[in-house]
Amino acid sequence: MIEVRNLGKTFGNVHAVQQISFTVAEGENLILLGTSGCGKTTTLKMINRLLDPDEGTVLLNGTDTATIPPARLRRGMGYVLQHTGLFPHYTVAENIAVVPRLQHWKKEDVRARAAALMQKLGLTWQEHAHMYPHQLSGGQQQRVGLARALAADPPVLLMDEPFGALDPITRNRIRQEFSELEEFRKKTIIMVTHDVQEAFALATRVCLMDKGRIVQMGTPEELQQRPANEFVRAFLKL
Amino acid sequence: MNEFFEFLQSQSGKLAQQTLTHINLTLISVAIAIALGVPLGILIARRPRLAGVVLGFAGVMQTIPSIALLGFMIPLLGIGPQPAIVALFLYALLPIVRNTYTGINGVDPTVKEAARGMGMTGNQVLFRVELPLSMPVLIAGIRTATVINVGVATLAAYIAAGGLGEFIFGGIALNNTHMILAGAIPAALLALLFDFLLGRLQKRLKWRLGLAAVAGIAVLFLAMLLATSSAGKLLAGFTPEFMGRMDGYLGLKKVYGLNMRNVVINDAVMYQAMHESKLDVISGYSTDGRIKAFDLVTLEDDKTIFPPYYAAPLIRSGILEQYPGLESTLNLLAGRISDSVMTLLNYQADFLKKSPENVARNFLRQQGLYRPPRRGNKGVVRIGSKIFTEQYILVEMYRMLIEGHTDLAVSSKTGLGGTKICFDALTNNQIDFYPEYTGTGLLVLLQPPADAITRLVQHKDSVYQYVQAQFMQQYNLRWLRPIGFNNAYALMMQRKKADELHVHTISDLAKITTP
Repeated sequence: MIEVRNLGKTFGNVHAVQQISFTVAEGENLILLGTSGCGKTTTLKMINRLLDPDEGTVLLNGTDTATIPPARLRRGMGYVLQHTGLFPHYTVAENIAVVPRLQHWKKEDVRARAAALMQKLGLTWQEHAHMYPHQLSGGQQQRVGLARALAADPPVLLMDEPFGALDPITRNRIRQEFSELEEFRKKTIIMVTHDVQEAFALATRVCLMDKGRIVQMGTPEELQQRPANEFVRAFLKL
Repeated sequence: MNEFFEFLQSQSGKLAQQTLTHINLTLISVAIAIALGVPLGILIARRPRLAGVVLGFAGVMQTIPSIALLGFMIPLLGIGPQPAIVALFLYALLPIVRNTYTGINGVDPTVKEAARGMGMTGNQVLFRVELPLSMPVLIAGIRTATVINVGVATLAAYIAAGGLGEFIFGGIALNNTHMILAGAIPAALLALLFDFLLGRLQKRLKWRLGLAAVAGIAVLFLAMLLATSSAGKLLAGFTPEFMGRMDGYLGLKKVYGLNMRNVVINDAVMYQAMHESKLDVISGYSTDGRIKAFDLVTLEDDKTIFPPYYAAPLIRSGILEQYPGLESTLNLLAGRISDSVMTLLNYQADFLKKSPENVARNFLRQQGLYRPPRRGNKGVVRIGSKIFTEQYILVEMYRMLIEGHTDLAVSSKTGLGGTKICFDALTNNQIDFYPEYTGTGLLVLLQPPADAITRLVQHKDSVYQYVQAQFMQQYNLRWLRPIGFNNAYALMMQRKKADELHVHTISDLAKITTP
């Protein structure tokens, strides 16, 4: 479904990302794992063209994404940010409705979809729909961020440290709930994290990165059983 | 207090009209500043390299003194509302551009990234995220601009654009506190009102509604303005002072039955406007250097409504007693300067660009009155002056005479705005004397009953004797001997136009302008 070929990106004279290639099949969850500054977020942003690669291409269902207008490309890919990036001047309902409205859905459909998602994510229309982001707890904000990304039912979901800003207890709970959603199972997900436990809990495959390059890619079991080198062993604390 | 309300009541029509014009000028200029400033602010937020240039330019515009900016507008746009609106627009620009720029830059980058990540196009990010989130800052800028403009718009009265400044400047010129307040209070209230309304807007964030309202009002007013600025017959430009005086437009209406289209304009720009044929008739002073420079003619006052304005030092009695030689020194100038000589001296300063000091020294040398300064250690005499060339020249002459003929030193406070300011400075012992005109003393300062004026104005001597006696009695101030010239009010036209229309007296003018 998504194929990344030889991606490279340079900021000034820093090679943020070099020769990244991988393929993600439909319904798969690929976790980009690594320390801060290893290039995982840069890689993610090149997939929805928030950054344009200096080298290499990204193919979506065989089409070079460079030929798709960025706005259209992104509407087909849900995007969840670490610090939620919720629109502070929109209510919860309005935040969730952003992408459906960009796609000119009918009002009733937008509302029904928002209400359904809120319910799935443990929020209620009556209580939360008309609140503003700053009135919510961190966990609730992150739920709204998830709902916003899922609202237009995009086939692909890009997640950048989606649970990173939460306290450990809330993080585990939301991650748990998230992994039980039917959306989670159906969608092709590329997610960035530095948390090994989280990566292993959610991944179909893990892509471990360091200094802008892929160190090892495989299922969690493969990484655990056959770590490619000392770095992998150390990172996974084996 | 009651008198003030009576004044308001008697002027209510004019007050309403001036207030409306004032709102008009403010809102149109702010609306244009929004229409151009907000996009400009957005542009420089997108291209930071332009920011320095644009903000620098807008900043420089705001440092130009308002009067100077209005003055620059005349050669470009003439007089009236258009140049005033352009000047006000330039003032409003900086706060609006800067706050738009600051507001957009202040939007959380994560939120902007989220907006792009959701699939918003550049315009959608701007209109749905960046602008709404920067709206409080943006409206704060509009608020600042509006309040500034309510204030600056009072100066629009200088270039015939109307507004509450007409009352304020008229009041200052005519020594009429009620008139000053009738302009100043509504202007202050307007500033407060706009500030309050925009403050509400800022809180409620009903910005679409607000902007639509401002735009709507501006368009409406603009339409009104265009509709009323009809070209027509001869147009007169009168100073705020002239407009409110019996020996001014009021007398012209009453005695000559003159009723012509007119605008209120500042003395400093009036001649220029006439020179550029924006005005056909102006109210000037008979010794003005510009009469010579612009080839103007004064219309004969064939029914004698303009009283004589003989210039003489108006001085505190105390200082004359304190320094006994002072009176005879100041009287050295008495009777020395005729109308045509004074016009010439003014011309030399205003158009040949000689400094008042040079003009004064040359004249005194010619007259054999100049002496180099002496010790200047016996005390200080403080001289005041109003802000126009003739007064500067006279003050220089008096300074040289005092320094050369006595052992006194001089400190001069030139540039005391108008009659009232000079006179208040004198009675409050801030200055010791200033050159005043008998007619001004009579009509502006003493304000005797109308029939007394009619009786007095026929003779130069009777006015002089009357003011001399009254000032002594009421204020303990003395009028020294007149300098000689009579700087009276006069109506003026360009020589060519006057000949074409065969207008030589004010009665002629009344005949052709009044149906």
